[in-house]
Amino acid sequence: MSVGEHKYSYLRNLRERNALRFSGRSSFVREIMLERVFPTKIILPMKQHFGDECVPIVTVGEHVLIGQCIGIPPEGAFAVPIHAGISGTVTDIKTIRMPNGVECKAVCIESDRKRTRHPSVVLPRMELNISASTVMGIVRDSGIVGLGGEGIPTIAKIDRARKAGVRELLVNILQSEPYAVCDLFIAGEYADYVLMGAVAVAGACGTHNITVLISADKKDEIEALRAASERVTDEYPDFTIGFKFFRDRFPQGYYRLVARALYGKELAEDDTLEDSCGAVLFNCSTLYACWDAISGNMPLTGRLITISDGEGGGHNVLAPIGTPVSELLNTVNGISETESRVVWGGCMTGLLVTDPDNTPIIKTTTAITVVRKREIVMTKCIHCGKCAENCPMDINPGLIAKLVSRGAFSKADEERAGACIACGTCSYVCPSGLDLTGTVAGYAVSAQKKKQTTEGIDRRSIKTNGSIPSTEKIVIGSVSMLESYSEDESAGDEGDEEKIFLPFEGGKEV
Amino acid sequence: MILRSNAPYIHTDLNTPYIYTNMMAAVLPCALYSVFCYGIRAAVTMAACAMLSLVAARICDRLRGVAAVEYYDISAMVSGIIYALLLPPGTPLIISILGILIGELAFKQLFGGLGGNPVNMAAASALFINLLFEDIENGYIEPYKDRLGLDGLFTLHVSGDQPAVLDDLYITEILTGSYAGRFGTGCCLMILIGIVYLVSKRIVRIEAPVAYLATVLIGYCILYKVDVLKSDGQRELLVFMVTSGVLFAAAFMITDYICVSQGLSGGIISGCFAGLMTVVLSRFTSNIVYLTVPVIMTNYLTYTLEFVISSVRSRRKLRV
Repeated sequence: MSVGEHKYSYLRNLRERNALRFSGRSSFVREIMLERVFPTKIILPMKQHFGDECVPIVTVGEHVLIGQCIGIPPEGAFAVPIHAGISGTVTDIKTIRMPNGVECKAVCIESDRKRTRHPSVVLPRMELNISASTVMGIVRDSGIVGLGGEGIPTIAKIDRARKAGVRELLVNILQSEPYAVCDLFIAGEYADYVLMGAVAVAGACGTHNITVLISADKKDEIEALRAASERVTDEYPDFTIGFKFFRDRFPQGYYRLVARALYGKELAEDDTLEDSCGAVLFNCSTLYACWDAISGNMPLTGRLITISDGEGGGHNVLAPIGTPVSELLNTVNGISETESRVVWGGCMTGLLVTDPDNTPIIKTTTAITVVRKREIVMTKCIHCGKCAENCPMDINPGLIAKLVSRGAFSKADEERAGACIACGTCSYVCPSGLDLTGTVAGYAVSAQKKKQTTEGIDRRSIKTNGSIPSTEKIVIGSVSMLESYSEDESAGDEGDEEKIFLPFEGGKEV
Repeated sequence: MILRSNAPYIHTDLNTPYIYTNMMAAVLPCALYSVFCYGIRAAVTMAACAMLSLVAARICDRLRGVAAVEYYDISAMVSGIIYALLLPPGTPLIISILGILIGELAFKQLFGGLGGNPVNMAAASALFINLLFEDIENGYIEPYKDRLGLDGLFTLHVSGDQPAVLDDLYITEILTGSYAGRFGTGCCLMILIGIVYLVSKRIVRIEAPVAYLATVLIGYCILYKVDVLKSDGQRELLVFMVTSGVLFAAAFMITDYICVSQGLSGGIISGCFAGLMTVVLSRFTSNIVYLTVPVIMTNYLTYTLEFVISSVRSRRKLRV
């Protein structure tokens, strides 16, 4: 970026200095080379995304191959299929409980160590001159969801963007959580693929404008992306690729904070970026996965994940989805289980792993962080106001926590407790060591659940616009989406609800 | 101490003991300089106030049934030293002790201890003692003299004189606190070291103290019709700013996390309010009153102020 170029931030003017920045903690991003992990077994939960649980379509004892679909969404469900990341034998189908509290069926596959691909994914796609609807079909059938952590099926987001008529596709490379650098790694090492994926998805969304959002201090990644953007725009001159630079701030990548920084708009809890700002935001890992599916003909079977020891050391590994956390930890030296805690995700927003052997990584897991056990000094609130100063959502967590603990729930609602995004900033900065995030976010979630119970579950709450009545649901290859897109080639399948076609397996009927 | 079972799993190093340890470090130059100026008398008074404050806090914690804290809490000691630095050097020890005990019990522990006090304990104690024993304003002693002497310290009577007449002093004497003043409010250089240290360590924010000092500066010029273009006016302004203790108040009382709003707008409003009150009161009241009363009034207004700021911010959000 050039000197004097505007840097965006969700906090402005004098409040700017309140924001947290952790980039200094993740220096290992450029030092450690990418590794591949070949686990001896994987555990594939049937619910790895925002939406409904998939149904396993394999049986115990069955031999599966890499890229083979093993779980499909039930009829009418808001879900995407799940594919095997290793070849081997299905040893068990059991119910598991993940650290995020989701309880679902999981398919356990024991590796045969042959790494055999399914015939449908052996060869890369030869014809890349494909239509928007084909891109959408590929994205849907390859089971791609938001890999930044939100887990919304990417097809639903594309569909929402098309309906909203977005003018801009935003590539989110604003990963800012300490010790989590997988997105930055992808942006630096696979810049071409990220931007090619962005072009494909932008075409599917109906826009030709792509804007890359990245922290200004990520010089190497910016350089790689700039070079890649020139190559990509040479090949696709209809598309424009721009850059917007941000200050390194946590948690800048959240869509409501992006809206505030870029467009100066405050989105309410039910607002979407597409409707309010005319833009759609995709994580760079998601776009990379899209391009992998489009060009490599490979569904989402693995992902890049950061393994960090929480002290500034760590590396990025490419692991099949479903790899147990314990097998990933074997790639890091010197981890003491007694002195450390294993976190599923980043150390600001992650969840504690109690059983690493039976906890798999899923599509939305960006990092496994090993944090040294450290007790925090706990005192009474000293009213320093740091929680309110640093809160990216401009709420007063200290006050809300007090209101909640005293049972003044209506007052807590008035103080916009529901706006909490559980980023962990308030608890991090609290000198008194109070668990503000746990209290406020816990209340926000319970209030949301209560609202859903009393008002009935509104499908719009999963940010799908809710504009499509159920009668308009389209069944494509029997992978039904709550929202879907209109395409000519799908019309033939619509009425044939008895048939099930496996995605990515050449339309094989089962 | 706690081991968190939910996110975040890391925590800033800026915890409460760290804050108060740094506050202690910031107060230390003033305290040491006070010992340099007034000798053992200063050391004994500060040590007694700090220790008694700490002991009183511990006893009250026990009586309230609060489990013994697992870290070394020096917040009470910091309050004790700040209070001691506000006293004239001739104040008898018994009066100093009475002040700290009343302050700790009536203004802090009665409201639940650390974090619960509605007003700055040091300011309230100093004011209380001053109102109770008006005589202590006659307890000013010339610095650097009789450093080993403890005359009057263990009696019931205030020993000393009226505050120094500052008209004949050199600027260097004024800046270094080489005149009969309070224990810790005299040497502006030591106070500045303290505040620079606190700001550099990000322990305090500068909005409130800067707003306070700026308001005092401007308010004083307006109220007293000071011609800052003339050397007499400049000297008058300098003498007031340096010797009245407003620097000390800005550094160690306006920056009080617990009782003064420290946000951007809250800090500026609090600072301006306290500054304005200081200038207005300086016309009618004694030094300790115009130094402490504005701080206490600001403390009382903090909750209201924060409520207003929070409401305005929420409305602005809704409008956007």
